[in-house]
Amino acid sequence: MRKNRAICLQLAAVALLCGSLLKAQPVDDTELKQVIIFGRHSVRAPVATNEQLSPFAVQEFPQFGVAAGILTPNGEKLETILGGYYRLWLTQEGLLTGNDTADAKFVFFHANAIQRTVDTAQHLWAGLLPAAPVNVQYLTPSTAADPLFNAVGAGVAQVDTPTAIASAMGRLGGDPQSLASAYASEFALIRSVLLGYPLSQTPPPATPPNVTDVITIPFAVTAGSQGSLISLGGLSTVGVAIDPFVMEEADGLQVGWGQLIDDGVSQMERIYNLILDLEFRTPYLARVQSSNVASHIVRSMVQSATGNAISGTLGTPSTKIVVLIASDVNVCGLAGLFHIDWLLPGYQPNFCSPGGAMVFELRQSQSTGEYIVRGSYVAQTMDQLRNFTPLTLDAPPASAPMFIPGCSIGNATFDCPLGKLVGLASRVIDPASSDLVN
Amino acid sequence: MKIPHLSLIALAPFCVGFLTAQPADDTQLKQVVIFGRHGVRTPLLPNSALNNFSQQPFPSFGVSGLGVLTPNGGTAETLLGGYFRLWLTQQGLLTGKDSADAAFVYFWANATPLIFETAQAFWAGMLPAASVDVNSTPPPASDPLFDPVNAGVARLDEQKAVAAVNGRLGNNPASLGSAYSAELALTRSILFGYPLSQTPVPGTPFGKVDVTAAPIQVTAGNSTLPVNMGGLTDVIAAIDPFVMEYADGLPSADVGWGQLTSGGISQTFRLYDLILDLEFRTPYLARVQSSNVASHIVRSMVQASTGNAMTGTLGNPSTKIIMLTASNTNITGLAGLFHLDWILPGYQSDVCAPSGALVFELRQSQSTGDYIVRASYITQSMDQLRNLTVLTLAAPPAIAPVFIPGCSASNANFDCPLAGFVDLAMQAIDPNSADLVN
Repeated sequence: MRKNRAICLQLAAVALLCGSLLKAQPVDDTELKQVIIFGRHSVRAPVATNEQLSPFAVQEFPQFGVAAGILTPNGEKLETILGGYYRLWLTQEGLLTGNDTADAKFVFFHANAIQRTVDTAQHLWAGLLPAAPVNVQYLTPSTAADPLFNAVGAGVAQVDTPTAIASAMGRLGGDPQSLASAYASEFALIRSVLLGYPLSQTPPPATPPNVTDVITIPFAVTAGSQGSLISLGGLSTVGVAIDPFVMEEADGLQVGWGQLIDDGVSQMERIYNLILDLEFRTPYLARVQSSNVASHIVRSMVQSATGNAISGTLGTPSTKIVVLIASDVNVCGLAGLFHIDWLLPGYQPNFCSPGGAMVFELRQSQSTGEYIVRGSYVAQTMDQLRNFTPLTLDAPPASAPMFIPGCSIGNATFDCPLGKLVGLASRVIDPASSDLVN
Repeated sequence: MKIPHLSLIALAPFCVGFLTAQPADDTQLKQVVIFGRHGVRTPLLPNSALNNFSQQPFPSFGVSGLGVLTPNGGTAETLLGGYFRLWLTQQGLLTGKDSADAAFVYFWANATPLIFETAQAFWAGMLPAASVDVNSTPPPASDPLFDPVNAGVARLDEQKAVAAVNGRLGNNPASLGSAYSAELALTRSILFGYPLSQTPVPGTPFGKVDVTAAPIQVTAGNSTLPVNMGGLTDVIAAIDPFVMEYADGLPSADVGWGQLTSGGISQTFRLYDLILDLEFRTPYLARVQSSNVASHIVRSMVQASTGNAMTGTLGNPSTKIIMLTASNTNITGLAGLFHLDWILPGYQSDVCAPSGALVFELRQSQSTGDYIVRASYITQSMDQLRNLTVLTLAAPPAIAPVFIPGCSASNANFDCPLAGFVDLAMQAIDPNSADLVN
């Protein structure tokens, strides 16, 4: 190939041939058989209460009108808009017929037990199948540990806490505090917004009395709790303090007391992404936390392809649409397990925005019968969220086709043969961290 | 990240105590493989070309030649070699009798003068009384370890290479422009000589090229890069001199024309890290480009542990010290193949600083006879380079112990059993991209 290209550069005629060779993708004769949508909840209030947040800033954080961590009314509307887009797309692809009640039999929705994920799933359903009664599975009470989304809490996966800590420490040279200088520009931006002064002010002002300067709390890697296997000390606290900003922006509020414009929020989110990367993409942590959901997704596609019921799946062999709604930590962890990356306009790489989803399409070639999988990350842009932009096939949400390392071929849609995906999954999934429960 | 982790502060002391209580280290160093980058060099482009990108002319390094080791770079490399002499003497691999020790030392360097001279300078610090003996592939042949594609050992499918990178960027590489807007803005302000806070930003000076405005795209690569990143490669060419200006000890007025601190350099270099990540850490590209060097490193450790000569190794069964010298692209690729991360104070994550090295220690337990591998990344800090700081065991370079995912145990040194490392290597290495040539 290298030699071929060298010739291309020398000979104009051959170069033209090579150019057309690259563009000449075979016609896509595949048909969508099943789709698995693994989404984050939509816009919510910050996870901490304003009372908990208030020590971190000189001004009061804004009111979202709902309690901490609850999906906002705007978030509900946005998720229904997104569901409406999936309705259009899946009707075009032939998985939906317009007869919602009949179609609902081939649809499987499962959400994490907490309010914002259940409510998100219900509102996505309302956009996808408006004429069918909502049918979303979830555990009760809301504190229940879902085996797909909190595999350790549910007892499906076992974590070795010293290894969890070492696996993150050993990405940081044993010294998490090195992150302070590496991310100095983000921490400076965060401090200027929380403490209310221009970023360009030098020297930066002292921390006022009664305010906690979150960026000065020492970073650490210690045993975790509450759904994360490790805690990052002061870095976790920074994550809590900046959590409201994306949601302010997406919910249409003033952002960071008027000090943050689009790119500023995006830049700040690098710290949030860093936390997610350390806690959920670190290979050992991804393997423990995301093997079970990965196993269920892959087995569900195999079940659909073969038509034979197998254990450890979602839905039945005839299920065409599987929707899983959980949190960014879950989507991030699954992506980390497979070393999948994406980038959408206006967001940082691998950012899981409100309502955003990893989408896996199981498709069958009509000529060869072969099954392939296509992965993509689909999310409303920040402007689509803020403006409640109606989504259509002509004005879709942002979509990033994803190359699945070790499986995707070099064509334009990064097709990954199902058999190869199963082989890949058997290598990355830890059988001791997954179960075969449906 | 769901709930504030503030309540965990009380737990932290327990964890610290736990981490400290490691069993005594009864291992002995048997072999070390040092995989280092060349030292501080002159820019890769002539100032006549670089000056198109900047308002003011780029400074002179006082050395003729492009991409050549500077005298200070050579001195810094010898200082680093001197540190390894002290450490390896303490560890018992060196005895003080340099000529005798040299029989157990194997140096391999890429043949370009920059790299070959770096290896010679390192040798001069490590074994000053022995005559220098560095192996390399005579030009114009390509080095099979460091350029296996051009050497014909590995084959790169260009279309798949482009897909593998595009499929991490949502098929829309231009989105990097907004994700990295802060770094691009900083870069532009340095190159065109205005304060970062100036609004609106001034236009491009007459006759100059704004590298930050060139479209970022992914197309087929050339003999040195597996894919071409479009405008991003111009940005890298323009910022490449900054680290070298600082590390070479140029006057502050000549480091980014007096506008850049080491922190600012570190932030602009996120763009450099990005391109290295895309070109060399992308899983498909790491597998093609780094399997051969990985295979040789792992097989050499096996050979040392068994004492039996094997093919595809470096040195012989009695070789105690293996020094490989190449470029940041090579070290980045090997790290990517094994998903290794590090960070050191003052640097971004995974940066390969001038002279910095990925170090693999093969150690044997004196009680059980078990062989283990310990990885670390060792590099002079930016100030140690700039100041030509003498390095000792009491004043060492910066050292990041590195966790090897899928192998390392949870102890403080992240010990990885040799057998586990071999299993991991067999999964990570593409046998079609590696040879068994010694």
